[in-house]
Amino acid sequence: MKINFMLIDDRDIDLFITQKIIEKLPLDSNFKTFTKAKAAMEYLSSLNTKMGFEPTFFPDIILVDINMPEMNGFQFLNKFSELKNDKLNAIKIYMLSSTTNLTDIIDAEQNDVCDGFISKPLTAHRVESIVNELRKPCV
Amino acid sequence: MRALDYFRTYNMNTLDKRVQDILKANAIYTITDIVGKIEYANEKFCDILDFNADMLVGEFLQLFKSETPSIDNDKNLWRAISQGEKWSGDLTHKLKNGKSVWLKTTIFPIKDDRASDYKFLSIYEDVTELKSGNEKLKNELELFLYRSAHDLNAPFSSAQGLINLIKEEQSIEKVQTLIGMLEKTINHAKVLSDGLSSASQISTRSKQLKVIDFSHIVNSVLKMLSSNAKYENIKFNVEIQNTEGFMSNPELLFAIFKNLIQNAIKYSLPPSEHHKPYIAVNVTTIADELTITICDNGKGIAEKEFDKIFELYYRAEKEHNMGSNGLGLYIVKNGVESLKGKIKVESKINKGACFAIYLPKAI
Repeated sequence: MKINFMLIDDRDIDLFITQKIIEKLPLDSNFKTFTKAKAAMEYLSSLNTKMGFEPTFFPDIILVDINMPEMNGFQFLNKFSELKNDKLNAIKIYMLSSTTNLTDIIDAEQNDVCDGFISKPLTAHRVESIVNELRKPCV
Repeated sequence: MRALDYFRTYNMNTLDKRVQDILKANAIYTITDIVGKIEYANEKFCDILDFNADMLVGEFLQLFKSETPSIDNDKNLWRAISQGEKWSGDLTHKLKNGKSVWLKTTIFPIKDDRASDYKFLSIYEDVTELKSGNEKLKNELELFLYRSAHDLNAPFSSAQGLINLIKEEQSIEKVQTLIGMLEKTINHAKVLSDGLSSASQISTRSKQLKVIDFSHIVNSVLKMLSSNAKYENIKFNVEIQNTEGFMSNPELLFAIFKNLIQNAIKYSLPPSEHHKPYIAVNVTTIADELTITICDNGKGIAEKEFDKIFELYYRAEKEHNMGSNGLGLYIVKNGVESLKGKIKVESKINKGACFAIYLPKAI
């Protein structure tokens, strides 16, 4: 099974690290990276309107940073929840951040759109667990 | 205090009419009896609390809550004043419109010659504005701490990630690339911690006034920044005139010059046949005001960002990654404000930016 990862982080280095860690795993993975949440959002909205056509890249998992200028991770989640679409709803979204702020972590865990909080740096073990989560049949 | 002494030793009723008039017009005060029933409240008091004087008289003065309401506090207040000791503290009251007033309060117990009971003269000072200033500061400090913790944590998390990758990497060549990235990440953390330490010093570097040698400050700043790769490309033009005897805080001025010149270097455009990057620093006295201008012909700032650039942790859209900590102009603005000065910015995209600072001669 091929897994499409969308990575959103304003720090290039972190995008690089996250992608490398996932690539080290025996997975068939594809990536699309954004340094701006707004640009990622625009891409997702375009998928929404392109229904019927087979898009070139449809994410299975989105990893989004929290602290970013212009549009932060939470603002991204809010915007995402406005895109009502069954296909998009199947995407698993995780917040991947180096924050140590407990409120951020709780907010992420409790957010309806967000499937969980992951502390930076991403580890191979954590990737395996989210991939297993994805493979779980729908109940 | 004279008037107050007078109050304490003389019968209230025989208080000199003129003193009473002065107090009525200028002070904020109430007189209550031993159980706290209002006998008199002056007009200013009623104005501030939005009360009608007629309604107030005969009511109990239980309007206030102390800053940290607790039984102990209230006990202290009553113990003090019932024993004839004065009490001071900040009290708050919620107005009908929902806003809170803060009154710095001093209660003087006074004894009427003919009566055995005390009366209480309470004198107030409206400190609402001061309190809200502190609130703002508290929020700013909270934001500062929150963002600082996160910003400092971010490069460390990146470093951890890179180290994890290095550990598993077999190819020496790839390890070299990763180490290069690690170095960049650690340099970024350094920029942040440098910014943080100078920001935290703003408040502690208080009011040590010294005669300022601007040439010395500007030259030290330039020397400090000369290691920057772009420094060589830039022509510096420094002019300092009529600044003799200007007294100010040298550390704050140093921080102001350092951050502004550093930005001017950072946002300079690469030199070419048609473009000669320059930075002009001018210091002079114009009509009792010391004027500092730092102008460049670099990237410039969009007009819609003028208000935002001085905010804590604001970063220009494209420059939020390496080498910017979002603190520089915040430090500058805070420094200028603590010197009771003003700062203005003018700029056009790709034409340059000009920062002007006006400092009063006497602080």
